[in-house]
Amino acid sequence: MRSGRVSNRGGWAAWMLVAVLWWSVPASGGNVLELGSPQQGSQAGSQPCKTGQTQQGANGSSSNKANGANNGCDGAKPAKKPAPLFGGSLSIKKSTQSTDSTALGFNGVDPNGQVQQALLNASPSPDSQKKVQAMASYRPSAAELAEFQREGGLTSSSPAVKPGQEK
Amino acid sequence: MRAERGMQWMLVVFCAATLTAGMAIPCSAQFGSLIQKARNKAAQAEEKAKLAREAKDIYTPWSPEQEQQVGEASAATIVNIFGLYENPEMVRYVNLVGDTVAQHAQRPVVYRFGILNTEIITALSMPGGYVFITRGALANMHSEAELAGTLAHEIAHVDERHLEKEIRSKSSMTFLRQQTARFTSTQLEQIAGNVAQGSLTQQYSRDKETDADRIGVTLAQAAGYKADGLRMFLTFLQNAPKTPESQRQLSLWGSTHPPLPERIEALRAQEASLPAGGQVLDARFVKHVNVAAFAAH
Repeated sequence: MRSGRVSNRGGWAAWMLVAVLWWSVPASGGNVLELGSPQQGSQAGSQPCKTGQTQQGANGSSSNKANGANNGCDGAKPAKKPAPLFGGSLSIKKSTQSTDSTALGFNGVDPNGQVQQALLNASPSPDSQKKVQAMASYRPSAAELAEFQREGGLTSSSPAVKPGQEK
Repeated sequence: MRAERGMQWMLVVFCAATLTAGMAIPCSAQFGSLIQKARNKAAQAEEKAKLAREAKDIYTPWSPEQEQQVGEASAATIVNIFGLYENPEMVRYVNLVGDTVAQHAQRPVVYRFGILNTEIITALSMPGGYVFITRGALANMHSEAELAGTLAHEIAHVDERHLEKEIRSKSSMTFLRQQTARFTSTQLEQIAGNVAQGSLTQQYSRDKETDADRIGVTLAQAAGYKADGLRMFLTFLQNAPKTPESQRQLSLWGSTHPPLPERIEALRAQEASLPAGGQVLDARFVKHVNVAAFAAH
């Protein structure tokens, strides 16, 4: 009788634990899933944004950045409208080109307004190096500079390095 | 009976162990990674602080010779990308305006001004006094004061060694320690590449840009130009219609400078504290730089 009670108690305890297990295993499984799911969720949630950003990057992300355009990935922040634009006669001018030396237009920059990476990584040609060295030849003489300043009513001062003076 | 009880207790022990393990694994996964992240952050912060201390200890500015070396090499990269617009009269005019402003700078740098052959609207400077303005920027200016204000901003960057400081702050300590009185060709190539890339793809830090605007206005005004030259040019750019083509022209400006409204406001505030007056010289500018002059070349 006594031993039967004990065995019954043991049986109840076992069944209660099985019941607890029954409830806790799915819960702990859910917990494990929860640990993974925010990442998965955020990845899944951010994936379209990332794709959008990549596309924007390819289509000129800097201009969007310059405009302060919202790419819609901020979530809480509403997309900012661009500032009202001047609608009058002002417009960005193109410098007219007529000679071979100016025929390249947007040279060095891709259609998205980004400097071409290949050009950025390239070593400068000997011709470019010569042109840089030749820049000094355009420096005005002290007399030219003084005349220019006088003509324009500008202030001359004794310069730390005199025009035309090379180190 | 005994065997049955034994089985029941074994089942209890097994269930308890399973429960404990089931709860402990996710907990350790969660808190273990948090602790590890916190440790990594602390280590990174310590490393940064150490680098900053070392950088302070070994910092000596580039010598004029080093600055010249870097400037020439990085300018060659810029010219290699865009090409130079070689109209001697116009280039000389830009040099006259630039030198007039540069006379009021602090450091004895030999400045060389060039026009980059591109429709992109921007201006940039290299260490050692190599300053560039683009054909696209010149085509959209209306006076010598605007040109002077824009060049003055770039002269201020050179005068304050802004690009040098930016590059140094991003270089490794080993690299900085290895720098000798004159750069080796490998060092020079690396630094010049960083300088050119930085000037075309990154902004200076906000405080350096603000400094360059502030000092630039002071330089242009000291040279006798009206102090609002840079602001007038920026305002024109800000008001330009946002067509795809103008966006493309302004793309570099946008990615390498702070937003226009912010700069315009700061410049307006500074101008209010300066004496009025100064030369605008729009007629002289149009005589030397205009669409017709570009076309005639």
